[in-house]
Amino acid sequence: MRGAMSLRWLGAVAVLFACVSWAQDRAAEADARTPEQWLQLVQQSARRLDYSGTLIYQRGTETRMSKIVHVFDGKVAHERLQPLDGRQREFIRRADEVKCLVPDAKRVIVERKARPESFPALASASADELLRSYSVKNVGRERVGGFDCQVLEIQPKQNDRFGYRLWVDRASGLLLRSQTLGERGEVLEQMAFSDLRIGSVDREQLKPSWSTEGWQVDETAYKPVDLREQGWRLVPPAGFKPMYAVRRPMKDGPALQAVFSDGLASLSVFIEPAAAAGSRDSLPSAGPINAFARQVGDATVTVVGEVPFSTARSVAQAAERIGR
Amino acid sequence: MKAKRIEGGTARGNDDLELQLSSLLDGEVDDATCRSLLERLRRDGEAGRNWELLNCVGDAMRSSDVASWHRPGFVLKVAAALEQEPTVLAPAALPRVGLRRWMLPGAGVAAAAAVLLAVGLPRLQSGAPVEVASTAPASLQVRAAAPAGQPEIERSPVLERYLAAHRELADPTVMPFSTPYVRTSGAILTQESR
Repeated sequence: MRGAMSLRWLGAVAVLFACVSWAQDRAAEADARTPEQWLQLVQQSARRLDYSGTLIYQRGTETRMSKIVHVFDGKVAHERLQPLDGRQREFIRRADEVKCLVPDAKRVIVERKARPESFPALASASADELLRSYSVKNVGRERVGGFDCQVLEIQPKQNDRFGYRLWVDRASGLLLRSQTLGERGEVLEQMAFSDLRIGSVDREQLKPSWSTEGWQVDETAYKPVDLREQGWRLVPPAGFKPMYAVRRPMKDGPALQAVFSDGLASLSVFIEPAAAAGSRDSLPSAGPINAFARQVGDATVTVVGEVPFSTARSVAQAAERIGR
Repeated sequence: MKAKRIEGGTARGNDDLELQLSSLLDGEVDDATCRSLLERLRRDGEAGRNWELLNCVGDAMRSSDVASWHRPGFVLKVAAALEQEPTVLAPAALPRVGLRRWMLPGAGVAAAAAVLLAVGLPRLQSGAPVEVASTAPASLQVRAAAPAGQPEIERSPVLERYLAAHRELADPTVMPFSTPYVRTSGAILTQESR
């Protein structure tokens, strides 16, 4: 009897010891993670974790709140985003398809990303590729809303793009707060969770607020194109890879759109007949979003993206017509 | 609270056993089943390893990075310790993590961490975007209008049109998918005004 008791204690102590060393290992693992591994973890966690909460977005004097529900079903991610300010609308995502619900107009606008088969150039940016354009540093630990967070600073190697500061939950890898930084380190925009709940998301919460029965459904039709065949040569900043080149409808007719991304920032180049683009007297910049438009022959080239103004301008200025 | 209680009876087949083990971990079995499962864990090495694996899966699922430092050797060591003394596995001594839900495809994370983040967003100094003088004659002046009251994007129907179109195809790879939507949630969608 006594032998059985002490054996039992021994077992309990062994388990306790195992748990402690496990926890230590785990903390050590987080400490040992390189900046690149942190970035990979952020990428994975954003997709694979279940969470719900409220996102606060701030840019200049403007603040927006959105409710977000995210569920990973083992294969694809489902998400519902409800902006709480401005006009009523909701974004319901399943994998690469986003349905934008506009209750005022009783319309559903379906955005479906055209995927790899038609875009062989499309490859998700790896941490390695990111490191060619940015240097990533662990700059310490900070508590954010009770979460022990790793703070990462991502500095561009050249000032043709912005920097970022990220707060990543060390336990789950979820990005809890992010800032986009200008050339002088000033904060251009920031995003952070208020009331966040990780795990245990009721799938009912993914359902839209309105029944869309009888609503008009529109789907954006993209047609992949070869820019050279279309007679255009575009020069993105170094490190930006071509993601898409499509012919797509815009408000006043078809346009060419080319999207480039360096894994963190992206920019679009729109090419339209000058007449359709019309005369514009101004394009405002909005925090990290800058735009520049320029006439090239009978076309208007408009560059829009999360890049500095000078970058948007140089991309627009480098756009040229080439012989077919 | 409990979805269902597993009643007594012996485990038939691996699926049954796994279900019962995860119920045991959830503290959702009756006393008789608990005893028979513990007995089985003691005798059956395969069942013991299953049990350890279930525990690991629970941890791995709760934190997606756990899996990356999972070491089978460690599990075996714990398994060996536990096989010596199965009674320490009394369900009450284990965290109730609703493991069974982890095991079902599509089930959400059951271990809920509800927290309130008090986010103190510092007031940004660069409130109004900088005015940029453009000298190229054919180019457009980019200039920030910043009257208060209305979000900037909404004030520029031209820009928001492009932003909505840009958002459709811009995949943020590191940032969460929603980032562009949160950023331009007020933008008029391209087709909306067609």
